[in-house]
Amino acid sequence: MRLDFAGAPEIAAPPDVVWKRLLDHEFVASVAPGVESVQAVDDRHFKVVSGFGVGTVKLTFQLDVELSDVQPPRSLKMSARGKAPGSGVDVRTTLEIEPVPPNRSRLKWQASSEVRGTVASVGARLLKGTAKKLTETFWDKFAARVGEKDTT
Amino acid sequence: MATLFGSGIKRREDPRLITGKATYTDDVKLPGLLYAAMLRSTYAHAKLNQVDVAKARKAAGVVAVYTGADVKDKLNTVPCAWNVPNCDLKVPPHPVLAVDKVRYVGDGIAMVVAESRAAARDALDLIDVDYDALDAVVDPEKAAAKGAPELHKEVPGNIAFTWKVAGGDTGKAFAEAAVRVEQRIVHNRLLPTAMEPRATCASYNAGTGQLTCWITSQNPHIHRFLLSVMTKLPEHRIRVIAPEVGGGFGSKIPGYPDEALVSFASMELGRPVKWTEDRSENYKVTIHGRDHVEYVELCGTKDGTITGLRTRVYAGLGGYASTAAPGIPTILHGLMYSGPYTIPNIEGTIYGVYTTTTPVDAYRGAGRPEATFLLERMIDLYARQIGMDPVDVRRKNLIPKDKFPYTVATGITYDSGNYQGALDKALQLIDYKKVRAEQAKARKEKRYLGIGVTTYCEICGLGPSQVAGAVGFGGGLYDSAIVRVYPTGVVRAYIGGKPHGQGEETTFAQIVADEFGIPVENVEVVAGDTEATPQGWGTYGSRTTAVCGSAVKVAAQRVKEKAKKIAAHLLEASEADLEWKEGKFVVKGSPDKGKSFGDLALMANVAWNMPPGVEPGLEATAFFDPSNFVYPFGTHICTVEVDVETGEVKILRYVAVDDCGPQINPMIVEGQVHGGVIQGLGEALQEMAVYDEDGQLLTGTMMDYAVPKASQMPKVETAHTVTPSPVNPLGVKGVGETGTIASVPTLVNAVCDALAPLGVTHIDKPLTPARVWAAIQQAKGGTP
Repeated sequence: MRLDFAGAPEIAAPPDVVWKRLLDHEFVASVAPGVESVQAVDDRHFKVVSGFGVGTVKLTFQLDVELSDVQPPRSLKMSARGKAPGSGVDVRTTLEIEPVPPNRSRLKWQASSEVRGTVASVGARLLKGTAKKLTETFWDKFAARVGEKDTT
Repeated sequence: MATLFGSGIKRREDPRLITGKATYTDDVKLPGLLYAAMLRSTYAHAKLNQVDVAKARKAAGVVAVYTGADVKDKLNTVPCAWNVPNCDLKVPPHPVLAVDKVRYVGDGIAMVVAESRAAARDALDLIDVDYDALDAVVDPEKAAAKGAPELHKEVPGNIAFTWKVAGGDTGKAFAEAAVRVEQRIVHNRLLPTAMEPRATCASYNAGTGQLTCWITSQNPHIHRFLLSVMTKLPEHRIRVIAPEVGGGFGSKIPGYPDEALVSFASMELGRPVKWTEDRSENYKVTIHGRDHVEYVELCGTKDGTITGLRTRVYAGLGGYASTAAPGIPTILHGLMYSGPYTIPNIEGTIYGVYTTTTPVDAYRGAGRPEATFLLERMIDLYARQIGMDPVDVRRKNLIPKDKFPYTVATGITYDSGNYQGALDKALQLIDYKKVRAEQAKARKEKRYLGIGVTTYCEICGLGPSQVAGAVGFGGGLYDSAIVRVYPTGVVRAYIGGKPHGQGEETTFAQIVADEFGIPVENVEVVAGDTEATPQGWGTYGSRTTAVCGSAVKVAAQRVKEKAKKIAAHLLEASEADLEWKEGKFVVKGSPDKGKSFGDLALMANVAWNMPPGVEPGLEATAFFDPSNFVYPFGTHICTVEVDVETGEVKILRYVAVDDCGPQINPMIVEGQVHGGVIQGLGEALQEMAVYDEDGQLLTGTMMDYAVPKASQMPKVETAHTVTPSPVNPLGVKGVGETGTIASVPTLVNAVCDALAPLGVTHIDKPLTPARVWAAIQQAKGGTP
């Protein structure tokens, strides 16, 4: 099933700081719910292991993440393709950073997911709500952490 | 001696079933047993680029992994066995494992065979599949439209067949008709939730070259044939055993890739291999039912005479043509468009359409529920249009009881009937005038009571083999029995059918015990092993009692004829002077001089003193091929109250009057009616398999797919009329499917009747509160 979500949280940091965080895969993983490990293949490709639960179904996804159309410090695309037992998922995310003068930014994100197999058939009723919450939490948390003064 | 025929004795199969002493396929344990698990597509439609099984092959406990490429030259494709003629049927190859493309979520991609079930399952996760996603199409009408994604290169536009039925001059009837009604009707796709999912255990003996296969099968002899086609093993080297089978509803008729794959693995590895579905897998890969989009028109006079019926139907077949699939929306659907009525002009066009979904095949009723539903719905719309009571319209058009055998416009001939008798009985039971008066009173109080009536007849007891051949059915439709008498006078009947819940172990014992005048406990019925039973064609299409039961009756009669010869010899009398009295052959006029069945069983089996020219032993085989189908019928009436604020439907009463001819065991008949009605009410009220537009099955568990629960269902009040069929020696008609055929329109008609004052004319099932509420809002002119 297809799931489309979007958001545009404001971040208390300028675009270049946000950009730096966005490319820091360890930082991103630290705010992402369920992520168990991230391994960089190169600076554009990552292997991610992430847990996901919906209803009675708890699955571990192995994801291949790729960054593309990287235009510092304004925008990039991130695609993740993953599988779990009997299931598959594709997430395509578009990110744009807009400056909010004098010293803040807005992170406009748009995520379009396709969920296949067991997760879709077992969790259909709950999936949309769960996925929405997870996705929004992720980007809101990212925004909050980037804006924290003492992060290094 | 009291006859057992007609006696509601308890089902002898129940004690073992309800105390855990029954053996199902998954209970089969063999030395060295391996376990198979199937990797299934998560895409509804995709090009298959690469299937990398290297890691899975190295996993702990894994013995072998096979892909489509590994097996495509060793196994044949899955056959479709109902090649309906004159409809340009296109059956593209259905590989046992996908080779270059997947066509539904659940399509097989690889099989892992391992030392344990868990190891096999775990190894599935180590297989990497590289897909290129293609567009999905799940709705049969959309799949038949121009520009829809195509599943098979051999099938342009996804149209598997275009089948037509015509009788009379429908064009003229519609042109001249004073009244016409039309309606688009959607038959929700259903999941045939048998209690036991499918399973196969295969054991190949390389020494003898013999394959033994335990399969959850409604028709072991058909599975033997289908396995022979897929595995390329000759039929006489295959033994199929269907042990206890926990329900089927049609879903255990077809040949599936799984049984061929498991057999192949056993042949390759020289060890037995077992595979068992879990419920999620069952919902994804075991056949689904119904899935029609229908455009229906009915015309008639202003005073209630129906003059014509016309349909255009898009029947979803899923990704491939399953074993019997082409015959369901054609032969078993279109030929029944006249129902119990004298409709002189009928025309139907049915498109079988491939969609990126699980294959669709026979599900309890198979084609006839869809025919009865559209007809009964249209009659209610017509009655409302002309302002006539729907019961009066029905009565006016029913085939009169003195007109049988009666040939309808679609060309088939009904065996016997008394439709008015069943209608009258049902009206009396529900007290029709009284409930109409209550409805009128309730309407004044702004309460919405509805009355739904269905008068139906259906085709079953499949059927004459000659007709089977003429309509492209890939087999015969006779059935068989061996009745074998042991020296001590106990009897076994080996039958070609395969009961899996219908109770024939009991009812067939009643037939035999009656014939021989022996206690029913002295008769056993054996089914489900191709090594022990004669060629049969299985249990489906409400055929087992009418056809196989008749074979049992004929075989028992043959045994008795031989016993009579022996009795005459021993009594030194001529056969003509003997009569059968209270379980004995006696010489007329000297009732104390007789030979009981037990005496004759012993003497035949020891053969100390046989009549000249008579062989020892006491057994007979019969193959019974009926001269026609049987056409059971009846009237179902339901009353409901609808809460117009919430859309909730409450069933007040449900009355079922069915005529299946003489009843061997009334308790079992009643059970069949109860089960069928409840299953139909599930379809009418709440069951629906839902796919999203990408072809993902969203109702993949029993939490999401709403099988009826006991607490939601009404008491079913049953009654019967008895009109024997002339086409078999028992006079019986089938009753296994009448419930799902009659109850669905009965309930929907009742709800639409309740909401008539609000202007609601039709609601597509299932009638969930959300749908009913939306229909009310729409009728009120609001937006749902």
